[in-house]
Amino acid sequence: MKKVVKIVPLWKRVVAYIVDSMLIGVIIVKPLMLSNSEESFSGFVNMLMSKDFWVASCLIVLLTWVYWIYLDWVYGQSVGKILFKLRVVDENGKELNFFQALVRNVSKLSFVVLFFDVLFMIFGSGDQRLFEKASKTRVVEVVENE
Amino acid sequence: MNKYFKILLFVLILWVFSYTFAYLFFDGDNVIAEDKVAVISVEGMITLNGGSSFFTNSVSGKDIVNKINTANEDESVKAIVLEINSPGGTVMGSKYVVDAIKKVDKPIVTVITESGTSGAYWIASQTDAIFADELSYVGSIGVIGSYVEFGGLMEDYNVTYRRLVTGDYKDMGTPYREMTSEEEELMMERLEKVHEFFVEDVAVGRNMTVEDVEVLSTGIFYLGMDCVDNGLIDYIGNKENAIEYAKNLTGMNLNEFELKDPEGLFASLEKLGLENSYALGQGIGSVLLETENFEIKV
Repeated sequence: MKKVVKIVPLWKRVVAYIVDSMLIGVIIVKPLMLSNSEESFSGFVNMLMSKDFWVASCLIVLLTWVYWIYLDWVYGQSVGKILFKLRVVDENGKELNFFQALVRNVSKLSFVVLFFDVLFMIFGSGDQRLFEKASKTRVVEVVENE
Repeated sequence: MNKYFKILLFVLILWVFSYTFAYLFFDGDNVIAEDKVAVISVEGMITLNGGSSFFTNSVSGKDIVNKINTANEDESVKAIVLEINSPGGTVMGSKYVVDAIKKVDKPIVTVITESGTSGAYWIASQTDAIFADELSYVGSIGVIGSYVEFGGLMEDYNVTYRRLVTGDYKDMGTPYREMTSEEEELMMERLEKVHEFFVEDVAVGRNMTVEDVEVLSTGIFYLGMDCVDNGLIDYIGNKENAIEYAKNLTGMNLNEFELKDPEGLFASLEKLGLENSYALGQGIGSVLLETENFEIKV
């Protein structure tokens, strides 16, 4: 049995990301998400001014980042990537080090940054986001052939 | 260990951590950022340090003050409701709570359930409004320093109290000898001072004249149904009415939130044991209590 490494179609990466995001929503965002009883604008402003809101938001971002970095660094795969047999490797096809895992996931701290990061991949060189290029990593699909 | 099992374990750890953090710091129901009414219970005899023993079951004034301060400092708490069921307590236990209430800068409303008398009423009188049931015990404004004296009994049994003191009044109030008339006068003088202080504070808190409060401060308790007319309470109502009133004072739609002491397994077991002990010794204890602890109570 031979393992063949293929370049990953964009849709697979998007769907894997959606799966991971849903999982993060369940395990991190849902427990820490603060609600507001007042459905008015002033209630919303009150919530934004609350210290707990900011503590919870920072913690959600931090734990989400931990999820991506740890799984990319240690296993080369998040849960979404496992489902689609995707793997993160460095440009030589080897496992990532911690610093590479950290840099390639910087854009996951913010949806806005991630959006532009993905735009770079779509309109740029092809299969790498900007932060993947910076970290010299890429996502590949592992197919087992007879 | 299998790689997928490890990943599953990691995901579970993140989930447990998130829930634990939310439970510990956001009250477990994710409502810390919600604007709310904090309900604080004041139940039992109020002493400074509280605690239960074979003979007593009291609530700590310090614990109540901690809860009041917590609610006052929490930006999401917009109003406070004190749910009182207490016959009063020691002077300092009650005054400690009274002083804390005076510093609260949020609407604070009291509901007296079964009893809000003496020191407990003193506490209630400092809040913005008082609710009570028609049949609640309210008032009993007065100071008590009575105690059981058994010098005569000791004499009957030929037991001698050997008095060794370095100040004439050092053993004033001891149950082992009869109080002299001079000592009684001194004691009453002090009780009167506490009484005056109590009455003046109630008058200020209730926006009444000292004379009006004096008329009501015979030590008698009143039923809630009479207290709207005599000015001791504002409304006949229950806890829900008090919460609704507090919400109206803020003009906001608030959630109710009970501010409780965290209670672990050991604390629960200890409480259960102490409650049984208390029930068992209540009869004997009520008599012995006064002979063993000479305290001025309001």
